[in-house]
Amino acid sequence: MNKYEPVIGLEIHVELSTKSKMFCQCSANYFGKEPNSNTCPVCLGMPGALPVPNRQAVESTIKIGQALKCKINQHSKFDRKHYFYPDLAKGYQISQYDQPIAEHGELTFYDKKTNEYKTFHIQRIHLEEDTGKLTHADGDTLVDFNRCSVPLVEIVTEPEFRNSDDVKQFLEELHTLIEYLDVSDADMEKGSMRMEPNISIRPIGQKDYPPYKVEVKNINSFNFAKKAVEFELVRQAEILDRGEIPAQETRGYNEDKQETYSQRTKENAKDYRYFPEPDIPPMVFSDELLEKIKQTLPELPFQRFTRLVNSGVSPAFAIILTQNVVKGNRFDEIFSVRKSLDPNLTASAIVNNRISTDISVAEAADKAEELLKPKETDTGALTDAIEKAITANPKVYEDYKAGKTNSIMFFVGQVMREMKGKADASVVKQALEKRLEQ
Amino acid sequence: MSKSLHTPLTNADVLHIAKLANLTLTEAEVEKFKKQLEDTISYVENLDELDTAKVEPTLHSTNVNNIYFEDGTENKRLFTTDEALKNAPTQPKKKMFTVKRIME
Amino acid sequence: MDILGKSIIQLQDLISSKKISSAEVYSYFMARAKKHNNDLNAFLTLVDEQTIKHDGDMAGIPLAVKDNFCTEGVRTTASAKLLEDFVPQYESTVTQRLYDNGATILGKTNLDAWAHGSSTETSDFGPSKNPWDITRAPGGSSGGTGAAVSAYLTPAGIGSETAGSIRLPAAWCGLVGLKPTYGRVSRFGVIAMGSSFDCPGPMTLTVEDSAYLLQLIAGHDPYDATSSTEAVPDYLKQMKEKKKFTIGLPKEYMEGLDADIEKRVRDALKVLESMGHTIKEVSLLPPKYSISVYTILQRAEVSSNLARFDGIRYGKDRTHFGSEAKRRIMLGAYTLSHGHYDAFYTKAQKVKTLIIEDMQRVFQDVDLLIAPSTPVTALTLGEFHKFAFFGETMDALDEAAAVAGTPAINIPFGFDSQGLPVGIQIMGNYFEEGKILDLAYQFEQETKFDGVIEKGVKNYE
Repeated sequence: MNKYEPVIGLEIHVELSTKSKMFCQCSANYFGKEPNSNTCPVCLGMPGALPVPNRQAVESTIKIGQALKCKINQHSKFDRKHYFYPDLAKGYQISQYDQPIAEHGELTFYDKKTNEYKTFHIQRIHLEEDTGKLTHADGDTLVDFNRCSVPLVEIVTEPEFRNSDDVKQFLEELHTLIEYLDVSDADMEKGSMRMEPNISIRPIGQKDYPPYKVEVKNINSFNFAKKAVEFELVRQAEILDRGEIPAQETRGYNEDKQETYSQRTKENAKDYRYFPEPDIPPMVFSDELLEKIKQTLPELPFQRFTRLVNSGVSPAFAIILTQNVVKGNRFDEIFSVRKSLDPNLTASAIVNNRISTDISVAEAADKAEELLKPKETDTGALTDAIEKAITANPKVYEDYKAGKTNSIMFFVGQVMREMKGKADASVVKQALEKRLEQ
Repeated sequence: MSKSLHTPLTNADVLHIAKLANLTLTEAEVEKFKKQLEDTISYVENLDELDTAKVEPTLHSTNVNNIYFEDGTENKRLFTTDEALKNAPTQPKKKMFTVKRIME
Repeated sequence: MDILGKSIIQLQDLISSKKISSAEVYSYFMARAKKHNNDLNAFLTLVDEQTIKHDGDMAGIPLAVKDNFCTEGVRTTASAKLLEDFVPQYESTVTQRLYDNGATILGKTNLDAWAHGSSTETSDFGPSKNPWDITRAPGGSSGGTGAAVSAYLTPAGIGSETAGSIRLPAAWCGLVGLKPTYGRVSRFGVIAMGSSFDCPGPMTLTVEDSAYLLQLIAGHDPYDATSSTEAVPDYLKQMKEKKKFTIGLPKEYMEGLDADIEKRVRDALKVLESMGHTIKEVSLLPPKYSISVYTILQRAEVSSNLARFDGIRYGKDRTHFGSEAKRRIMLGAYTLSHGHYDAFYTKAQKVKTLIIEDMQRVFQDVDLLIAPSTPVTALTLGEFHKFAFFGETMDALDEAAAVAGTPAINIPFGFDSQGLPVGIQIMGNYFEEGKILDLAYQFEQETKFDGVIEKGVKNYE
């Protein structure tokens, strides 16, 4: 594997949580409904039916673009993308071709494994419509159009990922961002966010892109995305080792076998014959509109992360408080009423579930103050506990004496347990240091 | 216009287009459409006579922009399941349209 | 009472003054339609045994509606075998607006399959016949409506035009036919042909009826994003303003015509001058460029619009497309396919810009344009096989307005040497249907169209 360098790009589809579908007034909430009970002439692709775009869907896409620091194309339009498939009612998908709503953005995050900041670039973000759903049974394929024409945002990254860990964390960070924006329920189980890595590899040192690309379709878990990438990297390396070139194709991911498999589909003859959708006039976004939408952007995950770190919270806690919006909000709420608390200790208490997120802000602040307050320590009991711990663990004591000063934390734990928590950890540590130095 | 216009079409070209368009053609049709396509292509080459180097294409003659509907507008056209399936040429199963099984 | 040849407006007067009941009017037309449809094949479906409304200005007035307008509960085929059994579960905006005003749809009329043609001969259900001579075509694609109104099987009808499909059958059948500005009338529920061209419009015996029907069907539709939000004026009022116009005669449109047609146009110009209008010769881009632009853009849109007919949700599968539909799909798919898009589609859109600019330039000098509607009068059935570009040739004079999306009307003016009606068109600038109707109405008052309408309704007395 180390002969090759992975070249990975991501396509992420996010279903917007608008009330109506993209081009008609049917509900965008199709989940769990009786098949074909959520259609109208437009989304069922009936003759003569015409699409009219949903304003909210367009504005939500702009919002995503702004959150990902994209350039918003002030002149944008819809195009028809043609292919035949039973779940595509009109024989074309209304999508965007050469004037996507947003282009050239980026997403930065803190990599917890390497403790460094990483930035990945967004190529484009466009708005389109979802397809219906197919079920295969015996000799039939069954088609349900309830989901057909639900607004779908496609986010395409530059092909600049080089390993599966970055892929996974990027997807997690993007998912958090989408949750913050409140434009999608981003429910992976329901398929509201679907990921397609485009994977290829090239010999290390080669600058040109590989002459092929393997697209793994419709993955709905970050772990599967990571595993699919890893499987592909190995599979493709084996093919290249044999002196062959992997086929340009679309593959699926088998979760049970943890491997990808070839899909013989529509993708074989890729000529979508895009042309501008004649049924929908172009979109022109004024500066005022873009500014108005920008004002609705909340504090974004990365902004929250850096704010927390700058306030003294450790990166590890800051990551959790950023990803878990409820806990993050609890942290901010407590500090809004009790500025005197130690940020990192408070963060620790919230992360470790020692402060409930169900109680009122005032109660939570009181709880935090209580937890963080230095404890009264019974010095007699402490001395006894220390002696007991040392006597019971002579080996650790010798280690400490031999220079493994880290082992003091072991004794702290032992003593705290003996004291049944009724001691202040810093006092315990000080007393131990004093005793062990004797 | 590009040179491709002047390149004669082959039967394979015609079959490729037919595949894209999801049409099945007989051999006679391939020959017929090849001829008709070429005739039409050579007719529309008259556009070459006009200089359009500095002309912007017109996508919509009506000059309107930004036509939307408001999210959550009442749905007056919702089909019941039976209405949706009413014109299905093959018997629906489990309230779904049916096609001959396709490979996944 | 004999109501033969009465216009919508006249019938409304008779009904409101109780000289005849709306039920009698309906029965009169249903009886005529049943009697003559075998000869003419104008209707594909007659809507028998329906409830006649008593409310609304159109109560009791039955209309012929082209069979590419989806009508809830009434079979809609676009004259294609593929849609032979299709009964829509929704209503087109145009027919809904007619119903809302009390109108009745007497039946759905024949057209060229998918509106692909200029004679109704590509219909999968056989051609319609021209009531002036049933060995001849009524023109197309709205030929069934043309034949039905011309033979007075209904007092008026609705057609749709992509390029010439209202004006040409109106010309060949001796009727008034109005193609409005693109976007003036909603396309929702009209089986799409060329999405950036399609315009529903009226086909009538009088200019007033056209103004009246346009009034009913025009206006913004929230279900059609390309329908105009421009306010709808009072067409019946504008029609009677009796303005004196400067009328342009594009010299390029007077070439290659039947001698009889050229003469009738010259005669019309004399009449108009005698009425105090000013005629001015102008120059437009030759029609051949409009033909090319139209051919490229329309075929591309056809190939896309017919993609939904996959035989899953409705209709038969794609093997049921007729030859003309396949031909158009093939060309459209070709021009949009990889490597060809710019050479064809983009180039055509650029020339479309030139055609619009050309029209705008001319409309700075003149109020309206006048030209023949067609280069020839009604051809005999089967004759279209002789033309390599039959539709393109027949509609040559109609395609500039179709490409630009500007309005135009066909009005009849006398006959050629074979006794067939000759059609003349008046074209206007965007949303200037009022001016067009004003001039057409003045001309109608002055000439009675040289007796075409009066003679036409008597073809099937």
